[in-house]
Amino acid sequence: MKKVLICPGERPGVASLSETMPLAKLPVLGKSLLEHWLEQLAAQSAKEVLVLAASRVGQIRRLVGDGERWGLRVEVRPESRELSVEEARHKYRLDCAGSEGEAIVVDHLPQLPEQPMFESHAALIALVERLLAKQIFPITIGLRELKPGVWVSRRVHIAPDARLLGPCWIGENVWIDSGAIVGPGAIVENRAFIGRGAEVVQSLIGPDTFVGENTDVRTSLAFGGKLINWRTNSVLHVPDPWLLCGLRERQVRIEGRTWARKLDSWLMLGLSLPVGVVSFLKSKLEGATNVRRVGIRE
Amino acid sequence: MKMELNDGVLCLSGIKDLDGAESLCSQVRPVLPESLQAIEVDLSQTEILNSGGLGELIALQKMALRQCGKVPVRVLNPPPPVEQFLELTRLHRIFPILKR
Repeated sequence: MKKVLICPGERPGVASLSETMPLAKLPVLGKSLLEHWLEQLAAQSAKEVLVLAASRVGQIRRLVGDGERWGLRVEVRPESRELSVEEARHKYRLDCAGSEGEAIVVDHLPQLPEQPMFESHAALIALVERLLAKQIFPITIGLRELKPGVWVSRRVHIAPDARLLGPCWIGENVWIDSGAIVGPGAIVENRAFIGRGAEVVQSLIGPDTFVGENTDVRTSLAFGGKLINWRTNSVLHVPDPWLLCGLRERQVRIEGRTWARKLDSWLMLGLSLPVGVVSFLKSKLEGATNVRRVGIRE
Repeated sequence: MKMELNDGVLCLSGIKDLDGAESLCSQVRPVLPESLQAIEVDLSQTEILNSGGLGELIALQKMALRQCGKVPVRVLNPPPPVEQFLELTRLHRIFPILKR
């Protein structure tokens, strides 16, 4: 049985988010939306999945690979635009007699089909909070309830004086520093860092996001250096990385050594080496030391 | 930048970039009256606020404190991103935000 997953394209309600990443890659409690779907389809014994992506096809391909992780055969196909369900069914012959295929737009979670995710930022947060309240979590090894309403994944560092207030969900490899307050209503995705004294309330911190010391993230979505207030839909690109930034965005580029630079290095070595050698040999012949001790006179 | 003194309240407006070439303090210092009641910084035209700009606000407050005593520094009509930045850094507790 063939399944077709249609990655959502532009959604005006969450335009700021879709600039940051393909919406199908949006993390929801540790896994991307697309991964939630692939898990669900694998559980339903699907064998073959076609993923249609209208943009950033490379990112989608890197995310799903060939589907081996879920025991599926997954193929990612680029499309010029987001197809509707009917268009996809027709194009990929799912509406033929005898075909049992299905086309699904990946704009909602499989567990909550009646709740679209991308109508607005507030709707997105409401959905995630509903998942928290109903404890609808994806299968996550090592997820445990630290205290009522506080869910913590594995390899999480929580400073002894940090406070976690439920409901809140902490992803894998998260670091919560001294004096930080997380929650209530906080979702901290994988590999995020919450700095000393920071507060995260009614907010979602995206994966690989650094929240600086003594900052206050309230009613917001933070993805890298982008802060979106889900109440007012205001978007701020935080200019100072020590306040908020992505931990993977900044890649230190070591300037490649061009041939000109290499030639320059060899030239300097070639010129300075004989001088050094001659000096050394001369001092040896004269019996003098070529290293002068420098002492401190008392 | 424009500066107006109304009933002991010094209003600074027309600020595009707080972290500009000329510091806020150096511009305001010569006109600070002794009977200053408050300073209002109108940020409605400010496009970007960064930590340098916040430093200017803090320096302004310190200067006013030295010269005129405890004088509130208020921020007027910041655009939503500027307001977000003030809230992120918790400085909205130091510089009350007013919307007129």
